[in-house]
This record gives sequence, structure tokens and C-alpha cells, in this order.
Amino acid sequence: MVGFLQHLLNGLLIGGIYALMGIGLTLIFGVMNVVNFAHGQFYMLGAFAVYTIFTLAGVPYPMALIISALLVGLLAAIIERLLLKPIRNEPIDVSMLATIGLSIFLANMVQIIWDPTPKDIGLPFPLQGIQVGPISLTPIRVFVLVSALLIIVASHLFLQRTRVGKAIRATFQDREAAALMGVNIDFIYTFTFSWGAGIAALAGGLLAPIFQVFPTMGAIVTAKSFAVVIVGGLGSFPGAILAGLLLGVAESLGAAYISSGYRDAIAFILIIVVLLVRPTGLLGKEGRVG
Amino acid sequence: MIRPKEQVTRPIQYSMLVVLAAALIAPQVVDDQFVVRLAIQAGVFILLASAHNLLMKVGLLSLGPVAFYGLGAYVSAILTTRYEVSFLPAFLAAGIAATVAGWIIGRLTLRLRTAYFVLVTLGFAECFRLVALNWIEVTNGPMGIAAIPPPAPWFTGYLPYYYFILLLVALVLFGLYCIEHSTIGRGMLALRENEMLAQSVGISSFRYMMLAALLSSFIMGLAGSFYAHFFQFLGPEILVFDLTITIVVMVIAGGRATLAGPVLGAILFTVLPELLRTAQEWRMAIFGLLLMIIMLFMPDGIFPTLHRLALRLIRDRLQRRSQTDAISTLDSELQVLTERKLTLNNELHKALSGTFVTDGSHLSRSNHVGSRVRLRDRSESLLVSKDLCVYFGGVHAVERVDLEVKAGEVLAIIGPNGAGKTTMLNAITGFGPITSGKIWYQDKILNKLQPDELARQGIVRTFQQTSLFLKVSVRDNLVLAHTGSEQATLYTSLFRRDLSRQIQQEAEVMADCILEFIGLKSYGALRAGKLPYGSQRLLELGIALASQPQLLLLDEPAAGLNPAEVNDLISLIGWIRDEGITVVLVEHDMKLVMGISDRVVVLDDGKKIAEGSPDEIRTDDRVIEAYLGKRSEHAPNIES
Repeated sequence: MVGFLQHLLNGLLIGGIYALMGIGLTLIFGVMNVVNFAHGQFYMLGAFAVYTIFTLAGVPYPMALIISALLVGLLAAIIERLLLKPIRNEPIDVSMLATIGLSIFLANMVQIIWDPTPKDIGLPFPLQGIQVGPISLTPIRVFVLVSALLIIVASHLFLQRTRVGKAIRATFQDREAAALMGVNIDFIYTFTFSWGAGIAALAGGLLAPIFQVFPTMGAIVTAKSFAVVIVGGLGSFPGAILAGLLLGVAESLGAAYISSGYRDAIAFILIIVVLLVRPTGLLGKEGRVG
Repeated sequence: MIRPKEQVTRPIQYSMLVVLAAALIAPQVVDDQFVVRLAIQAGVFILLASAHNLLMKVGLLSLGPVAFYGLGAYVSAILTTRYEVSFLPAFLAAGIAATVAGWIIGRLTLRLRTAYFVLVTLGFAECFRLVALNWIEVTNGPMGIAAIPPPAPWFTGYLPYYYFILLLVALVLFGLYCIEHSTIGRGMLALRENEMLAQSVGISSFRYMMLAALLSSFIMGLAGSFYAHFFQFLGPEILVFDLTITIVVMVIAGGRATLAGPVLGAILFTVLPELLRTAQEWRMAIFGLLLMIIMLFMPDGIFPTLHRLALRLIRDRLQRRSQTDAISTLDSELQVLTERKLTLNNELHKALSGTFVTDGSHLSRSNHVGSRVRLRDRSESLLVSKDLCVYFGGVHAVERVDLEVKAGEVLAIIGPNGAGKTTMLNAITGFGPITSGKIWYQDKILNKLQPDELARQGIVRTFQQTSLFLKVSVRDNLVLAHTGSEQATLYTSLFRRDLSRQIQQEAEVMADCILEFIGLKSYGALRAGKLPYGSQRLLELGIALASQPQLLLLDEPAAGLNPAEVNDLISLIGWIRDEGITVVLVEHDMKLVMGISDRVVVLDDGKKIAEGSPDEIRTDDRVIEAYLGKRSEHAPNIES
């Protein structure tokens, strides 16, 4: 039982990170109609930025997180303007291939700049555990879980309450109508991409102290983010959160009780099952397929 | 693309033979093991890219090609190493296993589109990889399968492999070429350009997509088997996502849905990484950068861009040589546009006086436009609906409607906005749901049929919003629309090229007849997207006619037309009826409705409220009430 709770908690922790990846990816798809294959690379860049700013430069960890998210967001904004804006009206596979190219480019540039060996970024908090009943938690894990939840809540409030958030949702519903109502579509596109990339960078920075940091870490995260977005329903914000947590828990329990070799298969099996049984995802709207 | 005129294809065929001959002699001249090995690799990639491209031809992007490639490789490797099966049966088994997998996965996934299809295929490929990695008893897991025998004992060195893959590539490309210039190729093009319209003229998207999936996975399975026996070692790396990316890059950067594009892409992206080897650690970064640049500046792909450039060059040279008789197509298109009004009227008059009915050199108009129509007794009912209901949740869009369409008549369905007219039309043509009730067509029940099946039965519709194959010429729009009614199989496409050619010629003759019929003859070569709006609506009508309907359902054909164009439309619908085609018309334009209909049915709020001749309808109290509203009983009485 204790083991089970421990696995569940670990699952929620990873799930929170998946949810962070998912909300960015799902909004980028919903608003821009871009399947962003470079999403995991922004996660990787976030981790490397934290490694540089926190481990190498010695800036405090929470500060380093915020700086790295802003830097990656800025980079993403530039990429959106230079790469994605010119091909906005092309079929969806063009932008897909462009982001695949971007993904290869980023991973290999990082490999050149920081060398391919995996890196430990060191511990930002003391290691001693906090006992909650029979479960032990390290402070970093508590920090990651709480931060992930805070970012999700903040994003939700941002989308619901602010002017820009409302403009994003309007563009999501109908690009033409939003443009006619005076929404600056160019700005919303750049902002959405940059914001999604920034959150991915935060996710990477948050997990960096728990796992190792290496240039190719983004690819599998991209694939899992797709799973989250599909399972939640393409374009559904609450769906991505739910699916992220679900995937994290399923992987953690699956690896513990079924087979660790097939741990990464769970994401893909979920994609297949959900698309075949309920193509609109858990919380997606009906009638978006076909 | 659709018109392989002798004078165009001949030079291409000769140049293909030259390329083939060069490929045959090349290894004798270039005595470099490294180059021959690279050529073999390029051959495998040509197979993979061309196979993957088959799905692009029907408008589907798959991220799962490695699943079939890997499956073929594993089947062949396991059969030959563990069960001592000889190469040829194992090679064929690999192709068949991949085809079966393609069939199963196709049945599950082919109803998905765009990003959904992309990601589900990615999911399948990754599952295959994880199975290969973890099912150690069968695949030997990460250790892989070693000592896979060569295809035959005399396969020593690279040369035999080179000639083997060359043979495979030549056969596959020839097959794909035949398919492209056949009914199947035209059906695929139609689906890629406009799936809904293609369905409405009888082209089954599931059938063509499944065919593409089966052929594609078969070729990939063969390629996988070849790879296993060439490399003689097989591990789960054959299923990595990077390989999928390589294949997709070859297809899209080369030029998707073209025959030469993936071949060019495969060669380029096999050679390019080798050339970049000198860049060492910068190699993949440069590769990624190149990919972005290609997508930015040549989103169609390299081959179509080169093709366009070449055409422009040739045109410029022609222009310089004699400016008078080689006017650029662009200029002539412009000219055509300015003369539009004049020619349109001319053509209509010509068609009206039946010039080509009596023209002996052409098949007669009635032979072609209404060839399947046996003139029926006017009183006989062609289509009957009984208690037809369509509900969307609580909204009763169509409520217990009984409708009878008599053979040979023009029946108009009118009613205020939201009366359920288009919903009714959708229900009849299979494009929308039926909640309850039945529809009969010549005594057969239609309820369960798909739009393309209905179209092949002779029930064809047009759409409220203009729907064309926008990127192909006006004439080719009609040729494509004819595809649904052509009886051709894969066998015909591959082995009866004479028959293929004959079918195509018939389709072209028919297209010319219809062009004349709808008065768009002078626009034949123009891209449909460049037609003025009024002519686009006429072309829609032509597309419907090209699929040889018996019952034609028109959804607001006059929407957005000016009064002169409505007059043209009225005469056109009259001629269509004279051909023996029954017409059902959903329309708001009262001039059109009253001018052409034999009978009128009025719907309001989902229910049929009146039915009768145009004159009866004009004076019907309920109809007036539905359109103008009822006088309120509580209204103040002015007289008192």
C-alpha cells in the first residue's frame, strides 16, 4: 500500500509536468493549427538554460527557472516570426515538417554548444525527506508538484480573465471573426507560441534537478506531449491537464506493476485507443474530426 | 498531369529509358564500393519514399511507415534464420505480412484525418518498435538478429544487390506510373483535391485510401526484407522515429504526390548527409536548417518548384522565338477572362441550337450527358421518402416528411431559412444523418448507403457553397468527376494500359461535350480556381453531370448569381431535364423556382406544409403565412 501511494505520487509529479507540456502544445494547435514537433526541444532548452544559469552561474534556482523560461519564450517568438509566420497558410504537413527541421536543428546545436554528455544540475534544496504519514517526500519533489499546479492555475486564470487571454480564446474559436473584432492575429500567434514554449521550458527546468540533462531528452517528451494532447482532445485545455496527470500515473503504476520495458508504450497505446474509441479525446468537443 | 498526350509522354519515356540504361552501366564504370553501397541505400529509400507517397496521393500524411518496413524486415529475417525458409518465399511473406498489417491498421485509422491520422500512425509505429525491443523470444530484443543469409549464395559483394534493388525500383516506379495515369490515379487526385466533392460524384474515399495503404505497406514490406538480407543484421533501430522523419522529409521536400518528387528527394537526402560528413558535428544541425529552408521557400517541394522554373524557362524561350504564336498561358488566360461575357453568351446559344447533337464526329449530347437514362414514364416515382425525420438533439430539423419525386420532372423544395431543406437534401444523398423513416429509390431502400455509393446509383448532388477541384483545369474537373462511374480495377491500371487509355479518352470526350453543354468550352485549360464566380457555379453543375446522374439534386444553384446568370441557369436546367435527368432543386430564388419547376414542395420548420404546381403554391395561404407571418389575433383592430 505504501509502495502504491509512493508510485501514485511519483505519477502525479511526472503527470504535472506532462500537463504543462500538454497545455502549451494544445493551445498552439488550437490557435495556430500547428502540430509542434519541436515542443520537447523547448523543454530541453529550458533544462539547459537552468543548468547554465543555476549550476554554472550560481543564480538561485527559482530565479534561474524564471529567467530560462523568459529566454526560451523570446527565442520561440523569434522562431514563430521567422519560420512559422511565412508558412501560415500552407497545409498542416508543411508546418509539421518545418518544426521537425527546427527540432533537429535545436537538439544538434545544443549538442555542439554544451556537448552531449548527460549533466547533473545539482540540488537546489536540501535532500532530507519530509515524512507525510508513511510516504517520504524530498523538498524538490514538493517544489515541482506545487509549481506545476501553480503554473496551471495561473495559465487558466490568464486565459479566463485577461484581455490577451480572451483574445487567444477568441482566435481559438474563429480566426476570421476574431480578426474582424480587432484582435491582432499576428501578435496572438507569436504570443501563443512563445507562451507555450515558455511553459515547456519551465517544465524542463523543474524536472532538471530530478533527472539528468542531455541534448536528446526532448524527443520522447514531444511524443508524450502528443499523447497528452490527443487523449485530452486536440485543443482542449482542461483535457490536457487531466490527460497529463492520467498519463503520469498510468506510466508510474504500469512500470511498477506490469513491465518497465513497455513504460513508454503506454503513451502510444493511449493515443491509439483514444483515437479509435473516442476520436475527439476525453474532453474534446464532438464533431471536430473528419 | 491528367493528359499524357503522345507528344508529351514520348520524350519523358525516352529519357526514362536513358536513365535506366545509365543505371545499368553505372557500376561497371564507377568502380567504387562506397558509391555502389550508397546507390543501394538510395534504392531502398526510393522504394520507401514512393510507397509513403502513395498515401500522400490520397491526401494522408502517415508517420508510421517504419512499422511496415520493420515488420517486413523482421518477418523475412525470422523466417530465414529460424525456420530455414529460402529467400524468395520469405521475401514475398514479408510483403504479404506488411500488407495484412496495413489492412488491419487501415481499417482502424482511415476514418481519421489531418493531425489525428498523423498522430495515430505515429502511435502504431512506436508500439511496433517497443514490441521489437521487448519481445525478446521472437525478435531477440536489442541484441537483434545476426547472420541473416544473403538472398542466394552468389550474392557476393555489392553488385548483385545493386541490380536486385534496381529491378525492384524500376518495377515499382513503372507500376506507380501506370496507376497515376489510370482511373485510380485520377480518383486519388480527386480525393486529394476535394474529398467531399469526390464522394459526391461517386469516388469512394475509403476504397482508394485503403488501396493506397495496401500498396504502400506491400512495397515497404518488400523493401524491409531486402534491407534485412542486404545488411544481414537486424535490430529494433530499423523502427526508430528518425527513419520515419527521413522518409517523410524525402517525400515532402522532394515534392509530395508527384511521381518524381520522392525519387529526387530519396536520392538527394541519401547523398546529402554523406556530403555533410565533412561538417562533422555540424552535420545534423545543417540538415535541420536545410529542412526549414526548404519548407520556407519551397513548401510544395523541390521537384514541383524546379518543374515550374523549367516550364517558365521554356515558355520564355518560346516567347522570344515567336511572340505571335506562342503566347504564354498566363496571357491567354487573361484574354479569356476579358472576353468572358461575349463567349459565354455565344456558347450558350450554340448549345441551345444543338450544334453538337448533330455533329457526327462527336458522340451525341444525349449519348453522353444522360447515357444511363432510360426515359421513364412521367408518372412513375423515382424517389420516395416516408416519415423521414432528422433530429439534432432536441432540434427537429426534418419532421415526418413524405416526399415523392417523379421521373423526369423538376421538383423545387422551398421554404424559409432553417426550414430543413438542405438537411433533407443531405439525408437523401448520404451526407447527413437520418433519425428515422425510409427513403426508396426505384424500389430500393437507400438509408444506409454512403454518398459515393448513392452517386454510383445515379443520385448526385451539388453543394450550397461552391465546391470544385480548385487547383486543376476546368476540363480536368470534369474528367475527374467522371472517375466515379468508370469501371476500372488495379489490374486494369497495371496490365491493361490500352484499356486505361481508352477509358481516359472516353472521359475526355465526355468532358468536352459537357464543357460545350454548360458553355465553358473556351475556359477548358483555365484553372478552376481562376474562373469567375458565376462560371464556377456552372462548372459545379457540369461536374455533377459528368458523373452521369439520373437524379440531380441542386442545393441553391442560383445563390450569388446576377439576373443574367440566373437566366442562363434556367435554360441550362431546362436542357438537363430534356436529357431525361430528374432534377430536385432547393432554392430561394423565386424567379428560378417558378420559371422551371413542374412541382413545388414547401417546407416550414421541418414539416411539409404544401405541395403542388407553382401556381397553386403562389396562392396557398399556408405558404404565404410561412413566408410573411400570421396576422396576430391580438393586433389592435384598426377599423374599430
